[in-house]
Amino acid sequence: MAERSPTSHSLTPYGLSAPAFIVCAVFLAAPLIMVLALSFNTFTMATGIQPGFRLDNYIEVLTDDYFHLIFARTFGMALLIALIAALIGTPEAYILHRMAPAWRSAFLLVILGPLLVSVLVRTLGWAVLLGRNGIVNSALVALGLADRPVEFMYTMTGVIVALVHVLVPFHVLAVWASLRRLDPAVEAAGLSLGASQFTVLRRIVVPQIMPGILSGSLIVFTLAASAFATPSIIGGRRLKVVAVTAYDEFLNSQNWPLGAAIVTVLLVATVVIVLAYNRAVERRYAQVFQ
Amino acid sequence: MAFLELSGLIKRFGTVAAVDGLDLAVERGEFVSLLGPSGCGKTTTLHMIAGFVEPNAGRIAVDGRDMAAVPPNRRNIGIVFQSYALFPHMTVAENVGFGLEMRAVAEAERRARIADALDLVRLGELSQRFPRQLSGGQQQRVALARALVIRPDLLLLDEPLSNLDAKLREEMRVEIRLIQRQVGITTILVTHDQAEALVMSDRIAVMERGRIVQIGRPVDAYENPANAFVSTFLGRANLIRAEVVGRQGRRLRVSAGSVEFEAEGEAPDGPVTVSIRPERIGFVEIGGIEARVKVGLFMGEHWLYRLDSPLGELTLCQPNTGALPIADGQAVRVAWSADNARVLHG
Repeated sequence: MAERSPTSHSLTPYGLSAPAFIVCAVFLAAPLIMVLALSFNTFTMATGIQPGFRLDNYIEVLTDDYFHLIFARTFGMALLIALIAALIGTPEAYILHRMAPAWRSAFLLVILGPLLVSVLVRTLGWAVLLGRNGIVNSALVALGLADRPVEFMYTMTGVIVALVHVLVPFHVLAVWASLRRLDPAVEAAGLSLGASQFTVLRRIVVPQIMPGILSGSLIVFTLAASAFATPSIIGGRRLKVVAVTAYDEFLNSQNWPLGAAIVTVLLVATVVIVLAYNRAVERRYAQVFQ
Repeated sequence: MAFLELSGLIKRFGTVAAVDGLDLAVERGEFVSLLGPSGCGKTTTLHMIAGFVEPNAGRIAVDGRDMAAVPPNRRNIGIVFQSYALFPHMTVAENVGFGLEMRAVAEAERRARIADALDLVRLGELSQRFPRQLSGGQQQRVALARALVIRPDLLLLDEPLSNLDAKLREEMRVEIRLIQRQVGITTILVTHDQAEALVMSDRIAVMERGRIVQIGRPVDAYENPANAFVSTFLGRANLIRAEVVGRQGRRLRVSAGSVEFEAEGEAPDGPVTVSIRPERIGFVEIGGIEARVKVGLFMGEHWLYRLDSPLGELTLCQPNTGALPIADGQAVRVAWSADNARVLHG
């Protein structure tokens, strides 16, 4: 019987996680630190990027109404998208949950479809659909629902429609995961005690999958807040969101430090929102769900 | 007219008939068990009574009222599920009160009835706990209180004890039986555990392949099994293939191999199966048949011996009186009375 030395044994977990740690350090931590460092540099058209440690960029982002508007628009839009995705995705997940297994796999593929298509292809597809002469407008006019084409392109509506489409699957998956943990007999129990199908849903099913609904919304919210391709193509430059603004600072204005500051503020704001939300949810459901 | 009447119930899943022409009449206040192996259709039958599964054919009537058009939430049936199916986000009191709330029972009366129901299952002091904070046995009691508090016409128990450990299961058998008597509610228990069915029921309906093969008081079903399936499912039995060679009323003379013995029952001449319970065979000094002990198994309150005999392998059960057990390999003689050898149909 080989005796295992306690030292080598206790080092094994570190050894096993080292590759993942190195990947994270090189490809995630290092770029983030570099962006953070960059955000404290300064920039002028004449001199370019000047190294240093100054808070000028942050002061600009935090005091300028232009940026206030962009941040408010981004988070407002993300909130609305999370809400709409929850309203569509939760019933969708429940229906999926109640389907016969064969149908369920087929529909799961349909629901996950948007995620399997490249973001650019999908967004351009939406642009084709939503354009002035696009299919949606042609149909609306033909059906007499609108007398002239509705503006979707370069509007908030268009951005929200396209983002909800791609983000709903994340909500469905989160809710579905919590539905699968649900004891199927609790619905039968509710019925047998005299509750209608609707009451069973409202009083018994929804409260139990609430953690799934809330975490799904959180995923959708953070993805919507940091979305770039869809807002930039469908929203254009009139409806800038934070990610598009940062992109423009980097590539159009060449003001990398300001772009880095914008990104950093977005990251910090999102992390703060996520942590606060998680704490609130955990506190609310602490006794019931461990 | 019986309180609960099932007649000609059929339920097919695809081409398989899970319940295949089931008739059952249960009197008011009676406790009837549906006993059978998994896949015999007992749970499907329960679900049809509850209204969760729609029968393909047949009739279900409670107190003379046809249930076909009544949805599950209007049937006024209390159910205790195998998993208990408590609502994890509600306290014990809220769980028990849910059915009353659905019936729009006024707050004050509701509180009184919740307290009564929890007292009945001896859980009064835990009313503000959440299900997760309770043990399995306590959760089981909450489920029972929740089902009884609505004063249902019928109580359905779906394998209610199978998630409890052995000791607790034995206690709960008795406790549920006593509560059922006290409340006087008509009860259907679905179980695959023969001991549970024997202890708890007024009558046992043994099911096989979607039908009831025998129904009767536990002692009758045990003593006079209708066929080989019932005799082995309800308790243990030695089944001996034999040939009827003579008769005198219900007393038949049968021959198995080199041995001839007398047995009780009705059968035409020809091959039959004879069932002898292990506890009805005894060791004797003289007479009987010769056998050899293959192995003696100690079961606590009794010894179980496996014997090689001219009739094939026999199982013999002897109460543990403290006497020395018989050693493996020893030659013995065993005998039984003709009353305890039952000729089975089929």
